[in-house]
Amino acid sequence: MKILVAEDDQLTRQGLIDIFEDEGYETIAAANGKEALARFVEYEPDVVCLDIMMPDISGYDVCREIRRTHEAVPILFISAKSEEIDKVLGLEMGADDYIVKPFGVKEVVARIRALTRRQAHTQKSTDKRFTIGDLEVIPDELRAHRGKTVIELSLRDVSILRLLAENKGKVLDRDTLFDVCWGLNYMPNSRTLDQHISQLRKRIENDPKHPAIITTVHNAGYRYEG
Amino acid sequence: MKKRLILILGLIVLLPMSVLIGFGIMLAQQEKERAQARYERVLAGRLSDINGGIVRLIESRERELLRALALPTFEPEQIRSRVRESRLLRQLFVIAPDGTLIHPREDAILTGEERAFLGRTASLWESGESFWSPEEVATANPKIGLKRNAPLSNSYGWHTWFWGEGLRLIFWTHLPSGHIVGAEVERAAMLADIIGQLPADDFTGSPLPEGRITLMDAQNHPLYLWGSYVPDKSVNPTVTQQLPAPFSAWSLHYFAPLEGMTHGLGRSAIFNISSGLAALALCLATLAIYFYRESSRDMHEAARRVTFVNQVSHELKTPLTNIRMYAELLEKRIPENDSRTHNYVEILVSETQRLSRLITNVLTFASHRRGKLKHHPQPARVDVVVASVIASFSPALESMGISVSVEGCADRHVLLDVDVLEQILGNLINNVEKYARGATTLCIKQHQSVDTTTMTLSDNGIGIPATQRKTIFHPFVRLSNKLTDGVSGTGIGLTIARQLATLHGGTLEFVPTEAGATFELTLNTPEANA
Repeated sequence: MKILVAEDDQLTRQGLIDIFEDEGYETIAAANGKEALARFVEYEPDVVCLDIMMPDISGYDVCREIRRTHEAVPILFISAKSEEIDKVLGLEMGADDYIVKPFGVKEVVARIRALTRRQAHTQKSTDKRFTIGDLEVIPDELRAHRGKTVIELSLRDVSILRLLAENKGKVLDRDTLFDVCWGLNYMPNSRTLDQHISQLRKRIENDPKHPAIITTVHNAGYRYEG
Repeated sequence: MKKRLILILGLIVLLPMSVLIGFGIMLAQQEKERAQARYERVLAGRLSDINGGIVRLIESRERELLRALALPTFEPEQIRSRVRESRLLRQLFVIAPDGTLIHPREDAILTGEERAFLGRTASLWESGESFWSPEEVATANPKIGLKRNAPLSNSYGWHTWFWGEGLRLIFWTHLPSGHIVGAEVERAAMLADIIGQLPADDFTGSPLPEGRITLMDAQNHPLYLWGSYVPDKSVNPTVTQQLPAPFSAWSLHYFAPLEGMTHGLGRSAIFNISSGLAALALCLATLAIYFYRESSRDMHEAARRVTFVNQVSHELKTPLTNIRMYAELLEKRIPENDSRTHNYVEILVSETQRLSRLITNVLTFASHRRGKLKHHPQPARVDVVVASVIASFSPALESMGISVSVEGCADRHVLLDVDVLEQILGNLINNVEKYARGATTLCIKQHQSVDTTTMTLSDNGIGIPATQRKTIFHPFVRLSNKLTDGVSGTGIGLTIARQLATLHGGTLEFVPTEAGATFELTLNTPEANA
């Protein structure tokens, strides 16, 4: 899933890109409104994240232009403008959500996941549900259910769980996991994978210290025993 | 604000201006009336002068007539000769001391003029009353008639009556012989003499404005008029002067143009008053403009300051976002067993949140000053917001040794502006963090009724001095130096918290307690499903 990040502040833009890539999105960067429109036409992203105050063309105008041709693509405004009128104007322009700076990573993640769910719902995705251990994973919802308990997942979490579930009993080495779940362009870092698995276990395992769904195979990789 | 200022300045200028204009109009009116009265007096004086000339003329003519009436004999031919000699005499008559008319006698041979005279004066002969002076009348016995009294010698008088062409004049005198000799005076000759006393045909050289003077007879017909001014027929004369006897039936009318009323007399006064008022009005207007400009400049200055603060606050948001975002991203990449680094990053995040609250407070305060503060309730749970705020303060409070406890239940789905509640609680807990020196506990009690959520936040710190409790909600008020030593703050946290509580239909009050500080917050939180 591709997300366009249009933000004139380079550090903020890069930080947002890191957040979204950690979540498992493919990102497209734009440093101004003009570039944002060009990238949108070129890559047709699934979600757009827009700053309002950008050089050349404002986020409002970019939003209006996108809405002329694409009614359904989710648009999230991220802006320092916190006045009520700014929010109202942004939503009137056709944005789906509005985040005021300074924001927390969790807030951005929660909002983007919500937009992704909405997008999957409107596109009637055929990404089927699957089970892994006692979890039922619903990719379109970015959620897993254990009985009545709902567990929030990222795109990458779903991708890792799906890969493990599809290769039940097999050991998946780090390269395979990186290639499939992070993409071929990702520069592997062993700690990145371990930390991600560790964080994921905290959320999906009944006992993270004695994992039952994602088990570690020393010097080889990870495996879903089934 | 600007409209109200314009209105106030307008009133400050318009009210005194209205009073001054009213006063000026009244003064001008009075001055005009005074000028008119002066003008009329001048005109009346002018007519009085003319009248004086006529009086002197009549006296002169009386002397002339007395000489003409001093007949040596009463022979008809001599009398007729005297009539012919005098331009003033039209006809003479003689009454014997016994009251008998001895000339012209009806039974004598009379000229046509004499007969006509008898015809004109027939009514006069029935009573001799007309030929007695006022002194003689006063001594007369009305029962026996005047004829039986001896007349006062050399007395004379006028008798007037109306016949034919109008006023007829008879001048009479009592001779020492007891005879009464009288003459019908030539009216045209007297009129010509009177006209001769009147001013020239125009007002050249006169201090008076161009007007018209008219000599009117008893029937109000003009006998003579002069002056080029033609008054309207409906206009009454400005001044009227009755002529002296025997022409009392005649009068002089002076018509003057209205604009002449104030010419040279009231106009200068009105001009002076108007100039004074205009100068005063100009001063007031100048003052109002001056104050308006000064005030506008102050307001613009204040607006610029607010805009500057807004811009700075917005500019601060971007680096603050980056610090917080990268701190949180960093936190995710720190090994779990590196608790010290985790702690450092938590402090970073916590401090960015504190800075964020500060900026939000400044912006909220600015919005409130501009009257743009609004709230937007959405379905939400109070307890969730409370937990979230406490979580954000946990690292700081824990490091200070303050334990937080939450009592009561507030889990209803209500209409709540989450941002507003977060900001209120954030400001209150921030005060505990900064000011509640020595505090070890912070207890939050929450309770919900049908439409209201009530929360009390109590700490066991040093509390707030009784003398300062009334002012803690005022903007820019901070507690004593002792309390705030080493603690930074803007002094707007509680102000904003109360403003936001009011905005949410509630209140925020300080509750006096024996120890520590307690604040009670109530919010209007109707059921979300209602």
